[in-house]
Amino acid sequence: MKKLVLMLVLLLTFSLAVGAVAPQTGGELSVGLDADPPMLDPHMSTARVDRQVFMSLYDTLVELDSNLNIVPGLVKNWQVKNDGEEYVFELREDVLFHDGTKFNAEAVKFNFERMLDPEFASPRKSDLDLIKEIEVLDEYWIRIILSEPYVPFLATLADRAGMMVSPTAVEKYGADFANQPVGTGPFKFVEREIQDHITLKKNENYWQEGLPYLDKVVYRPFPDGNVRVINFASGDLDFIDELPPKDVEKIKNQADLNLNMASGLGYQGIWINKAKAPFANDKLTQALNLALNREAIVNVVFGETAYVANSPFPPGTVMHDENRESVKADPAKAKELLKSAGQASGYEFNLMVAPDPTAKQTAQLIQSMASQVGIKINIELLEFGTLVDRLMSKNYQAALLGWSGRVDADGNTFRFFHSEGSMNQSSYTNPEVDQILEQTRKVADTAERKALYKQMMTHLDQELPYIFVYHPKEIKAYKDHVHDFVAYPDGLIRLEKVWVTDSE
Amino acid sequence: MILGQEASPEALHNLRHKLGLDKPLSVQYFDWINDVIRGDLGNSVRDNRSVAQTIFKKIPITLELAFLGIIISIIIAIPAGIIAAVKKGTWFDYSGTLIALGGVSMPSFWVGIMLVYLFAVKLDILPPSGYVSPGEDLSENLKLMIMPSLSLGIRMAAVTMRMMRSSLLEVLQKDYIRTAEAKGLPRLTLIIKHAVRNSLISVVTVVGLQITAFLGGAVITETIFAIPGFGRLIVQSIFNRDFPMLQGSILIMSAMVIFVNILVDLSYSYLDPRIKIGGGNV
Amino acid sequence: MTKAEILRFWKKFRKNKLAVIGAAIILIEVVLALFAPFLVPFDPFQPDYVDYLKGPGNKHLLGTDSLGRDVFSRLIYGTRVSLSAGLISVIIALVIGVPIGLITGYYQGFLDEFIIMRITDAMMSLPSLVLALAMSALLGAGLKNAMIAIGIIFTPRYIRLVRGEVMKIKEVQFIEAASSLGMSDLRILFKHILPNILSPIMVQATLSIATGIIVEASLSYLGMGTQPPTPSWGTMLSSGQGYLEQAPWIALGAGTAIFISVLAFNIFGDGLRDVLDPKLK
Repeated sequence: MKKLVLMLVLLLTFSLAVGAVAPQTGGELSVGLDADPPMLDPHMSTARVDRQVFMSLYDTLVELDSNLNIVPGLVKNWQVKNDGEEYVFELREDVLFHDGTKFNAEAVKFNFERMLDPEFASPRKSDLDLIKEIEVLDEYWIRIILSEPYVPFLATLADRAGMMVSPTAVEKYGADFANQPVGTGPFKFVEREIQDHITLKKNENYWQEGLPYLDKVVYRPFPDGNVRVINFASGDLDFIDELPPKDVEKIKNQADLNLNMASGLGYQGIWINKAKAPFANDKLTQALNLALNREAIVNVVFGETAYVANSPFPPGTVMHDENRESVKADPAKAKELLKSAGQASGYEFNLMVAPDPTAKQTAQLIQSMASQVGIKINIELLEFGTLVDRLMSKNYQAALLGWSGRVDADGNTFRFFHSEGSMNQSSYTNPEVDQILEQTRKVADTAERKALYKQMMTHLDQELPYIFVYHPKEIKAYKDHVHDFVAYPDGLIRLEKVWVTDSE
Repeated sequence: MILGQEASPEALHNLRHKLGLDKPLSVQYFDWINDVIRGDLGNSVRDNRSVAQTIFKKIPITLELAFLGIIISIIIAIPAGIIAAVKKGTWFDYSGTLIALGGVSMPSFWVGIMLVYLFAVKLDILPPSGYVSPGEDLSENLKLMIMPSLSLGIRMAAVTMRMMRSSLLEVLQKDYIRTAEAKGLPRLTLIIKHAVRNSLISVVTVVGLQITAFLGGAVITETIFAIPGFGRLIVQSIFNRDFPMLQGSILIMSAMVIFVNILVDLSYSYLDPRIKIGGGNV
Repeated sequence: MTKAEILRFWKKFRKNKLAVIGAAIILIEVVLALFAPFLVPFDPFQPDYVDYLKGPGNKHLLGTDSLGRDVFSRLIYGTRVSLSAGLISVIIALVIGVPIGLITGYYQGFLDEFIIMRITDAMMSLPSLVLALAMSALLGAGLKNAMIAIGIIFTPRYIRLVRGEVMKIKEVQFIEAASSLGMSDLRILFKHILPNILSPIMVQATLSIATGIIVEASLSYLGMGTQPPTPSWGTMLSSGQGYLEQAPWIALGAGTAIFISVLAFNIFGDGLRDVLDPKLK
C-alpha cells in the first residue's frame, strides 16, 4: 500500500513536471516598461527602452545566446576574411517582413545604406562608419568590406545596427515609419497610444517554426518605479522591467511572483569634466575617488542588485578582470592628496543628478562621504534630457550617470575614453590610451585584448575621467503563469519563447 | 530606472534643429503665439504628438476626477454646513469648524498618501494607483477613482462647508425668514425650502471658484495615483521641458477656468431670479 | 501700536482658545527652527550604513530613512525650510503687492483698470501650484526659486486686497482733510492709509504663510523645490512614499509635520481675523 502511494505521488509529480515543460500556445502578456519608448525605428532610436520593444518587432543579423556568444540570426553563416576586413554573410531564405516583403541581400544592403546616409543622420552611423563597400553577391549572399579591421563588428550587428526594417515600408511611410514599424520579428505592430500602450500581435509567418507562443503582447510605460511595482504586484501587469532595488525583498516574499536577476553589461558612476576646474588637477579627483565607500553605497541603496565597480567591465563579461582590486575608501589618504595638491581644506563642485530615487540616494551618500574629507558637493537635480544635453556640450563639472553597456568591451570604452570618441564628455585625452583603444579593435585574441584593457586601466586609474561606482544588475519580475523567460546580461526582454498558462 | 546615456551628439543636434530649438527663446515664443492665433497649438518637443489632441484626450479623465471630487465634497459639505448653522454655537458647530480647518490644512497629497497607506497597504481593499477608462471597465474605474476623488473632495468639502454654514446663518437672519417663522411654518420645512435654496448661491460660487484650486490639486493627485490626466500632463511637460505642451496646457486651463466662471455667473440668475445677466439692476 | 492696544488685543485674542493653541505651535516651531542644530539628537545629514530603515525605537525616536538618517532630526531641520518658505514668500508678495495696491487703489485710472487688474485676473485664474510649477520650470529647481515663485503668485492677492481697502478708506473724511491740507500723496498713503489697513493685510499674510508652506511642500514633493540633502518635509514625504510598506514612519512623520504647521497658521489666522477684523467673518 505504502509503495502504491509512493508510486502514485511519484507519477503525479512526474506528470506535473512533464505538463510544465510543454509550452502552451495563445494568451497575452502585458509588460511594464520604465519609460515610454520614444522611437520605434531602430535606426533612429537613442533610448535604451526602445530596445525592449525592438526585440519583439525586429530580428538582428546575428544574435546572442544567454552567455553572450554570437550565434546565427537572420545571417545563417558568416566568414571573416582578410584579417577581419571582409565579412561574407549567407542569409536565411525563409524570412518575410511583416508586410510580406522578402528578406534578402538587397534588403540588407538597403538597411545599411539607410543607416549610413548622412542626410538620415542615424545614430547607428558611428557603429558602421568603417563600412567601405557593400556588395550583393546573390539573392541571399552579401559581402561587407571594412576600411580597417574592426573586431566588435559582429557584436554591433547583434544590436540595433543589425536590426532589419522592411524597405517597402520605409519607402511607403518615410519619416512616419517609426509610427508604423515593420520588421521580421516574432510580433507585428498593431497600435500605439503615446504614454499609454504599444500593442503587438503574433507574427503567424515567423521563420522560427512554432514560435512565438503568445498571441499578443502589450507594453505599458510606468516611469515611476513604485507605480510600476504596484501595478505588477496587485494589478494587471504580468511582467516588469527594472524592478527598483528596494522592492526586491517584497517580490521575493510573494509566492506567486518571480524575480530574475542577471548581471548586467553597464556601469554607473561619476563623469568628471577634466576641462573644468577643479578637475584639471588629477590629485583632486583621486581624493574624491578615495573618499567613496563603494561597499556602503551598494549595501545601503542596492543590496544584492548591484556589484561594486572598479572598471567599465562588469563581472561576467569577457573583459572583466577577476584579479583587479576594488578601490577601498581611504579618507586619510584622500586628505593627504588634497594637501599635496595645495587644497588642504578641500574643494567644491556641482554634481548633476537625474531625479530618480536611487540616483538621488546614491548622490546623497556620495555627498556625505566626500564631505568627510572636506570635499563639498552641490547636488544639481536635472531632468534627464537636460542633463544629457549639458553633458554633451561639456557644460558641467561632474555628473552622476552611467552607461547601459554593450556586449563588446569596445562599446563600453572607445566612445568615452578615446580623445576622438563620440561621447568623450570628460574631455579626456591621452595618446597612449587612444593607441590602446585603437589596438583593441584590431586584436581578435581575447587574452591579448584583456591585457590591452588592463593597460588602459592603469591610465584611467590615475587620471580618472570617470569614477566607477557600481555595476547594476538587470532585474525583471514576472508572475507565476509566465514561463520560460530567459534572462540575458544585456537586459533585453526576449519574448518569442515565452508562454503563459491561464492566470485566472 | 537605471539611467544610461544613449543619445549621440549628432542625433541630439539634429533633433534640436528640426524642432527649432536652436533658435533664440524669444523667437520660439513668437512663433508659438503666431501659431496659436491660427488655431495651432503645435507639437510636443518630446515625442512630436499634437498638443491640442493630447490635451483633449486628457481632459475627460481629469473632468471625471473633478466631477467625483465635487460630488464627494457636496455630499459631505452641505449636510455638515446645514447642521453647523442650525446648531450654531453647539458642540456640533465647534467640532465642525475644527474638522473643516483640519481639512483645509491637509495638503491633498498628504490625504492621498494616507488613504493609500490605509486602504491599499494596511487593509488591502483598494488598488493603490492606476487608471482604467470607464468605457473599458466601469467598476474597476470607480474603484481606482475612490481614493483620488476622496483626497480632492475632502479638502474642497472643508471650504464648501464653511461657506454653507455662514451663508445659511446670514439667510436665517433675514426678515422674510423671521416673518415666515413667526407665521408658524415648521422650522425644518423653512430651512430646507427657503433658506437653503437662498444660501446655495454663495455655495455654488464657492464650488465654482474652487475649480481653480481643484485643478491645482489634480496636478498632485494625478501624480500620486498615476492617473494619466491633464494635471499629470502638466507635471510631465515641466519635467521634460516640453514648452509647447506646457504653454498649450496653461492656455487651455485658463480657458477652462474662465468658462467655469461664466457658468457660475449664469447659474446665479437661475438660483436667484432677481439677478439678470447684463441687466440694469447692478 | 501702543501698550494699551496690545493689551486690549491680547485680552480679546486669548479668549479664542484655538487661536492661542495655533500661536503656541507656531512659537514652538520658530524656536525649533532657530535652534535646530542644538536640539537635534543626531546629525540630520549623516547616513548610517548599518541602521537604515530602522523603525521608531529607543535609539531613533522616529526611526531612520532609507539612508539611515534620523527622521526626527530631519523633521526638526525641516521646520527651517517650511517656515522660511512660508515667511519669505509672503514678504516678497508684500514688498511687491502692497505698494502696487496702494498706488493703483489711490490713483486708479487706465493703468490700474486695464493692465494691473487684468494681469492679476490672469494670474489668479490659474491654480497657484500650476503657476508655481511653471515658474520654477523657468527659474530652475531649488528652494530660493521656489520662494520667489510662491511670492510672485501671492502678489496679486495683496494688490487686490490693498487696492480694495484703499478705495474704501480714500473717501473717509480724515484722508480728504489731509489731502486738502496739502499733504503729499506719498505721505498720505504711507502715514495715514497704510496703518489703517494693516489688520486685513496681517490676517491675509498669516493665512498665506499656511498656503506657502503647502505650495513649497508640493513643489518639493514633485522635485522642483528644496534640493537634497536639505531636509524638507515635501521631499521627505515623496521619498517616504516609496517606502510606505517597509518604513511608513518616514512619510507619516513628514506629512504630520506639514499638517500641524499649516493647521497652526490657519487657526491662528482665523483667530486674528476675529479679533482684528470682525466684519470679515
